[in-house]
Amino acid sequence: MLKKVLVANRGEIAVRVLRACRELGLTTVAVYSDVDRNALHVRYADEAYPIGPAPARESYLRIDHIIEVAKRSGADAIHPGYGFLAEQAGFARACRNAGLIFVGPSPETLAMAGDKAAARRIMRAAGVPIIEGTDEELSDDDLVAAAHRIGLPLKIKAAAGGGGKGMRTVRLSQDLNAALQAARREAEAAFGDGMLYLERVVEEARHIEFQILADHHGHIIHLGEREGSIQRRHQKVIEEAPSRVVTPKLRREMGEMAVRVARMANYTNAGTVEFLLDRDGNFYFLEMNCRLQVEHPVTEMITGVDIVKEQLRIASGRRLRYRQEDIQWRGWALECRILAEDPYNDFLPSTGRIPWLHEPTGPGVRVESGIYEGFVISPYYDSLIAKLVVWGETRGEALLRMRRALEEYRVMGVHTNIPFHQQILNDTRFIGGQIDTTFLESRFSMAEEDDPNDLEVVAIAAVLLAHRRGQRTLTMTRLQNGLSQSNWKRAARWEAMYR
Amino acid sequence: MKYAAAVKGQTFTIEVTPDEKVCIGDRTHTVDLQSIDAGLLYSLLIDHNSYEVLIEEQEGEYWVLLLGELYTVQVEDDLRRQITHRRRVRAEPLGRVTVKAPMPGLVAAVPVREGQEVSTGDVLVILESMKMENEVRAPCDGRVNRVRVSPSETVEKGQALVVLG
Repeated sequence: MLKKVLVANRGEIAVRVLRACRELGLTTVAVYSDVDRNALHVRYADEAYPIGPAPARESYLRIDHIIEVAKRSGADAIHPGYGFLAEQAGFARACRNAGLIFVGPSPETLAMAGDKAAARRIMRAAGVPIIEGTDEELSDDDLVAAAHRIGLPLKIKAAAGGGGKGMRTVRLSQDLNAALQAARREAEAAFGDGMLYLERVVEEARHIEFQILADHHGHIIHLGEREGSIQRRHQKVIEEAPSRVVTPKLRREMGEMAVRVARMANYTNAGTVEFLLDRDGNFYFLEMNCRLQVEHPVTEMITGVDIVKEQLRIASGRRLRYRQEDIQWRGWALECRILAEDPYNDFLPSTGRIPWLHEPTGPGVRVESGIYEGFVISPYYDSLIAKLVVWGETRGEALLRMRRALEEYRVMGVHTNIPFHQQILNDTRFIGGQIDTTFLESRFSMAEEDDPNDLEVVAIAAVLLAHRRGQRTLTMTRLQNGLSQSNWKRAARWEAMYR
Repeated sequence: MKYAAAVKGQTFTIEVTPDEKVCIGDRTHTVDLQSIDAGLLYSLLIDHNSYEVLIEEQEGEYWVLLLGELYTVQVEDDLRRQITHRRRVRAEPLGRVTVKAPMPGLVAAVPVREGQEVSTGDVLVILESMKMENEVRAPCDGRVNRVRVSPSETVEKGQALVVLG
């Protein structure tokens, strides 16, 4: 069994993994870049080591520094979280060579799944349905010929791709050549690999993914689906589980297919198999995500399985604690990704100190947060600062609960996308579940009009404060302990102490 | 005392009376602003309607959070309005526009040269922040007078990037 785990990540996911370690009684090691000395994951861990300057490529992406810290601290395993080094075969191999357990699949599986075209080839051979397209290395001329055979519209994707880089949608044949060249350039710049493949566009498709758990003894189960059709620039914004369109029969079929995909990839640990589901109920394999997903909590909320603890158990060589028939789904879960960006200003990233923070609580609410009051959000990393997750008996209850929780959320100092979430959750099409992966981009726009009463209240508040500052009638007395605390907070703390 | 408060392109003229009543147009409201935590949190009653607001003064502006929305409010009293108006005229020569960094970040590219003519919406500087490339565009037509940054330079929020005009 593991004793000491190094978490090679930062932010909310590092805290999430550290919490799981703590529940399992494992000693924890955090790593941090220069700007993250005061970050939550450093404060939470038992030990913390610096690994370099702020830019990720000089710290959180430095395999050598992280392995060195693992050895120095006596850790026996490394959990990579998501992003950074999580899906790099080279990192998993470096761990293996250093005698450390990598909490994730083998380097061989990571290398195979990392080549999206090769994965398509293997899954096609195994009888897994894939979207019509190509999966061989082809010249631009051959790709054009293939494009005419497949028909427009289609998607150009990078074999080494991710995050929408090197991806283009082509609707008119005269745009094909330019799009191929642009995609190849972008893929070469981003991944150092310009290999492209094509996929027919599936109209009105929903993004449905299956959570997989696989141990080292040949047992593979799925934990059901998540829907991530609400996307902006190929990034999911809201996720839910279950999906409104997946029937028990379809869940069984897709789940079995996901398990088959995992078996073909010799998969171990937790992973996700992504599918597109068309309006006629046909589904197609997209790709495999060989890591813990950002949106894993929605599955945890409806199955009761702690996926991160399962990851650690699997990594230490234990058998899965669940058989497929043990997995039951109950209620509905939603997740909103809280990002530090301004939805009214082209989603420009927002950075700075957070002088005041109140995170929602109450029945059915779970916050996975990487920030605290006084924390400074730097421009160096992802803009995801927290995830707001709710559970309800029904989808309707979960929606109303999410609206309530978003209203309670108070973040000062930076702009967040909370107003964006509030507007999506008020959209009748979203409420009715009439969504697909193009919903945000083609049919939704941020309403600019504000409630005139709200604007007036805001103006009055600012004027009154300015007036009092000018008149010096506002005497500011800090609390004795110097902390800014509301009476609610103080009362809650008091209750927690004396309960 | 009379104030002008600008929020989201809308300007409210608000008068605060000596007994702290608020007049907007021909309406008079009874208001009560109480500090809850001696910090940023306030309870505001306007004619007995209760609002919880967070207010922070930042760079001469007020940031107000109400029901999940964060607003930026510029408040000026009559006297200060005249002063800032005069100062603004002096600081920027006529027709010259300084384009500033909207956030801290790393300059990824500067696709314009000094002397180049640009139109509204042309990309002046590409700033890398939070893993995203953000394009800083020209707010108006003009000629690039000065380029004040170069690629791989780190910039602070509000730092001058390009001068047009």
